[in-house]
Amino acid sequence: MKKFHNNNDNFLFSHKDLLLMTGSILILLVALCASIFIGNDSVRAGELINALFGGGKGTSAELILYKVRIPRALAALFCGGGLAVAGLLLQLTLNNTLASPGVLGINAGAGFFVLLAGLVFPYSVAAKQLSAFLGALLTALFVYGISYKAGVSKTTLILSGVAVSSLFAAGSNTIITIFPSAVTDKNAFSLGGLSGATGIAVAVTCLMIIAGTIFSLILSRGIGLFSLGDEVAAGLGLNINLYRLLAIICAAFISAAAVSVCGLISFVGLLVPNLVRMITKPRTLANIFLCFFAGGILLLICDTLARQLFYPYELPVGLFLSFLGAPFFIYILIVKRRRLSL
Amino acid sequence: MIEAKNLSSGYGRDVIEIDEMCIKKGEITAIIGCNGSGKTTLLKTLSGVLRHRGKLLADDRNISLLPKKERARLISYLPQSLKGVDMDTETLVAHGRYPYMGLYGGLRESDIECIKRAMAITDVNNIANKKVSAISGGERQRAYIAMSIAQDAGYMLFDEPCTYMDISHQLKFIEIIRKLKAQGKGIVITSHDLPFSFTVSDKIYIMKEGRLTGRGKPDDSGDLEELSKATKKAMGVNIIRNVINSSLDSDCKLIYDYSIVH
Repeated sequence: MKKFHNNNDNFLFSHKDLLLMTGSILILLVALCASIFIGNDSVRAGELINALFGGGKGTSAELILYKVRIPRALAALFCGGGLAVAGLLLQLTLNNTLASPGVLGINAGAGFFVLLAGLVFPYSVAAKQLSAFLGALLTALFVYGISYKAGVSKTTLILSGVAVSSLFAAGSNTIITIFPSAVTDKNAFSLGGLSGATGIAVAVTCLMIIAGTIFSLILSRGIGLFSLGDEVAAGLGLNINLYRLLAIICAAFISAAAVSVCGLISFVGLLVPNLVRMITKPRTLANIFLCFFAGGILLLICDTLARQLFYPYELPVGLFLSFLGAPFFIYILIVKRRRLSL
Repeated sequence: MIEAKNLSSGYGRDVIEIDEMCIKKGEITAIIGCNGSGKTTLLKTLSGVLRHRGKLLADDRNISLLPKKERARLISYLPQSLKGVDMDTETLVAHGRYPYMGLYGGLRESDIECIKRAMAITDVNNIANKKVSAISGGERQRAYIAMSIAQDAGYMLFDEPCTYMDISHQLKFIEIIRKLKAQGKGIVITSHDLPFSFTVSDKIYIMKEGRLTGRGKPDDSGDLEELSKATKKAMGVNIIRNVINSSLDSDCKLIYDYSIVH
């Protein structure tokens, strides 16, 4: 690695980034193991470990491990990581610290379209995923279009998101009220939960999120220029319209994949990118990796707590995230108000 | 050489219409005019950031047909409004190497050399690790100029580069662009500061209502008289060359070679 002037980094990762990434991976592994092996089912952790290494074929431990725990842990890891990456992409390309899939209504749009697909094709995973992507993409472009028409200020973008989000939430609630069978667990869907994360849907979601994250890594160098402002970025040779559109599509794709499995989880996409950007240098590539790891850790830990704390009741993980996310949102509004020109 | 002929551009409708214009390497060109005369639009057009109609060539290559990164390697453009971004000065300067970088990979040795040279020429090494959001307006302007120099383009376009600079920073800027000129770069600046523009430039273009209403070399051997008349017409003031009063103390030095008179 070449030394970059005074600092020991090469414009991709600083040493601090590498340390943080190593630490994140270790914590992520611990959180993943905790999520898989801690639970209130009748089986013990030892039996699950035995099943993991090929023992106890056909036992309930094997069934719980492969049908429930592992899919749920993977869903938490990838949905959390993916939503955080989507939030980072939106914050950077729209130059707005308050942007996230939840705040801009992208999650709500995806959720509404998932419910619509659930009505028409109740057993098709592909239809739900495709529908979620269409919903997320249309919402993202719609919100950006509204704020562009009204003059792209940070406030108009957020307010447009709030309005569109409310609209789709109302639509989703109408569908759930009239057709309760459209969704398996109403609370898990509306508040965000992983109780329905099983089987092929989780596998497809994980693949979609991996693909979206790899694409965001490819875009990362150009996306980093948006913070300098559109004119400076254009002067440096960035195709700003193309990059912004691709980043929005990428964020919508990732969000849609996450929403189709874990429902309307809020705040991960807002909380994690802001935390990561606060403690690191603006190296977009490193920030994407860190957001993915931190988002995964956050959702894994929150989901494990949501399952354990009030046993035998299971709280939707979205509730925990709201307890964490809402105060943080208020903190950003108060502390960073001047910088955000709000 | 940047060559423009029958050039028009704007935002939806044409704001500027330029009959003929020429920017040469190794020269400092100033575009002057009142607020709203179209200086910024012209600069954006020349840099290829804004779409245009008409002929616009840089080193005999059609600017609008060039890939964006290739265009940025040929012409750099620094707008007037510069953000106090949340990154250190060194990182900001390194962004100037974007047109030379691929989708992946770090900075190469040649990139690092270029960044170091740009930071040395603009004297920003002392603020290398300070956040751009935390430095003064003049320092911020210099940090962005360093980024523009790191871009290593043959033509460098600066829109109102001295807006936030006090007089000492302005003098430093003059020193910087003269060094760049000596390196063979073609420099273009827009300004409504007449004494500054006439002092630093080898060629002046005067703009009014989106058109060029005067052009020439601002020295006695050139077209000073015509330029002065055109300035009066476009901006309402005359510009004259300063004459050192022999009664002044010999240590006295006029900062600019020209002054405004009504």
